Amino acid sequence: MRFRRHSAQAFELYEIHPLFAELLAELPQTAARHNMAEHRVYPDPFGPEADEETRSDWEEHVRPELEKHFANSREVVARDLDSLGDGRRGGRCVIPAEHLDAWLNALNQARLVIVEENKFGETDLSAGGPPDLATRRGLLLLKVHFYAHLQELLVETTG
Amino acid sequence: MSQTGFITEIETRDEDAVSLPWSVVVHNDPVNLMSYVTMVFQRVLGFPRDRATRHMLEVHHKGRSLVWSGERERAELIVEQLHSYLLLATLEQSEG
Repeated sequence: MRFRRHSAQAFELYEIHPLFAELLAELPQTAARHNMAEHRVYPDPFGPEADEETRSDWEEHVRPELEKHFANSREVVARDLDSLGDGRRGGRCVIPAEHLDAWLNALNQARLVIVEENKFGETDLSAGGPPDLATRRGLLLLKVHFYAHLQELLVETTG
Repeated sequence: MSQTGFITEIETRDEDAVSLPWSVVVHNDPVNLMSYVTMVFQRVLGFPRDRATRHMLEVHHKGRSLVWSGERERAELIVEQLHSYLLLATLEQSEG
C-alpha cells in the first residue's frame, strides 16, 4: 500500500494489497462493535465516590453526544471507502482533508474494540516481529497493527 | 412580601466544594498511540508541542498525568472532549 498527499486537499491510499483492502473495508463495522468495549469507549469520568445525580447527568447529556460523534465518524469513513473496490487491481481510497479527524476517530474505535474483544494486553501489542498469521489471534493483531500504522501516518501527515 | 407565583430554589454547597479546583487526569492505556495522544493534548488543551509531549510521556511512564485543573464545569468539558478522542480521562477533585 502506498500513500500520498495531494496538496492540502486530500490524501490517497493506492496500490492497496487485497488483504489490506479487506481490512480497510471492515473498518466501519469493526469500529461499531462497541458491546464488549463499552467501558473503554465510554469510560467512567468520575471516581467511585461520585453521586448518582452527577453520573446520570453525564449519561443523559454527554453520552448521546459521544455516540453521535462516533457514529458520524464511522459514516464518513464508510462513504470514503465506497471507492475502494476489492483491491484485486490495486485498491485505491481518497481521504479528503476534512475527513481526517473522522478517520483518526474510527481507526481508534476499531483498535479499542479489537483489543477489548480479544483481551490483547501491552505484551501482545508491543511484541516484536510479525504476528502468527496462521492463527485468528495473529490475524486480529495484524489488523490492530495495520490500523495503528495508518493512524500514525495520518497523525504525522497532519502534524 | 409579594408573591410572583414562581418558586425559587436556592442550591447551596459548602465552601470547600465550591473553592476546590477540579483536576483532569489522563490515564495510560495500551491502545492510544503516543503521537495521537500528543496531537490530542495540543488540540484540546492548547499545549505547545513540547508540553504536550511531556504530558504524553508522563502518561506513558507513570500511568497518569494531571493535564488541567480549575473549575468544575470547564473540567467536565475537557474530559468530554478527551473522551471524544477516546482518551482515558477522569475528573478528580483536588484534596484540600
